[in-house]
Amino acid sequence: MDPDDQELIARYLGGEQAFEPLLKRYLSVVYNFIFQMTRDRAEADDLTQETFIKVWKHIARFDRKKSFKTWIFTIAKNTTYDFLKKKKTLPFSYFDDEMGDNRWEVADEKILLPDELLKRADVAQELNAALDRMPVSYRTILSLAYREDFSLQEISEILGEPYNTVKSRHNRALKRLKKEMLTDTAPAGPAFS
Amino acid sequence: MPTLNTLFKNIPTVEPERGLESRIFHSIALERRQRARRKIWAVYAGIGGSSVALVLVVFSYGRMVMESDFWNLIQLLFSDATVIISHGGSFAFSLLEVFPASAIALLLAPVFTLLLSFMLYAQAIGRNNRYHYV
Repeated sequence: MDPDDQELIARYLGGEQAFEPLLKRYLSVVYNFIFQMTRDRAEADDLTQETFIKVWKHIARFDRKKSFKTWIFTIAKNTTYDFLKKKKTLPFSYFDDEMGDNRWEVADEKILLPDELLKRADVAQELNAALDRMPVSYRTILSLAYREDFSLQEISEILGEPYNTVKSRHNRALKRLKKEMLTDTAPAGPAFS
Repeated sequence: MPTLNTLFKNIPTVEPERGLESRIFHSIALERRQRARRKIWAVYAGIGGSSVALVLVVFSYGRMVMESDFWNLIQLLFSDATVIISHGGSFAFSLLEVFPASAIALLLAPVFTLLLSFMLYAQAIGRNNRYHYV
């Protein structure tokens, strides 16, 4: 049976060669998460490298009672957001976007994609293209929830934001995703302002 | 019927470039070397500072100790040892009365920091020479 994260961390801090299996376990997953935000491979490479260096530097301070996956994703998110802010890609208020979604608008609790859309063979590619057109904050939350299977509580820890904020942004993200996937003539161009 | 989870998981995974893993390890090795270098330099600064402080303190307060009543009493141990031993209790109390506590404390402080710096130096050298697993 493969050792779990806590065991690997304990072994590494005890002087064993255990950081490499931890890195291998999370490299692709963290890389894809960062790529979802940046949509640029070169940037994702650099930011992934920076993330794992930070993980290595601070692993002795990691609280082993908490989830390592949540911790590493928090570092990845903070590293990427800092980069995007420096690049001025993230607007000051990244809740608003060019579609005019209002940050205070609370969407319906259950936002479902229609069955006929879900049945289409190319729906995964359409989903990917729709995500490309969405603001990074929405992509981040949907990626964490549906690709990485984090709960909303864990997402609120990763993003460092209150649970209710994350919940309402999640609903708005789903609403926006539905709009993007149902709109044939969605606006092209970058999802950042 | 696929769920949203299934759809998201079916988005093609983007593989990182082949050299990324080794680049990360290389960066960590560099970072470790820089950390070790910073520690060594801090220890050198500690050794240097403590040595200078010790010399200054010896020159400033050493004479005070040598010329004090405490030192005069200590010298009696070498000249009248048998008398001192027979009146050991009184001698000890007399020593305590004239003990130059502040001067001794000031003399010992840089000695302790110097010994601590040597200990940290030995630890840093030992750590550097050990094989490092990542």
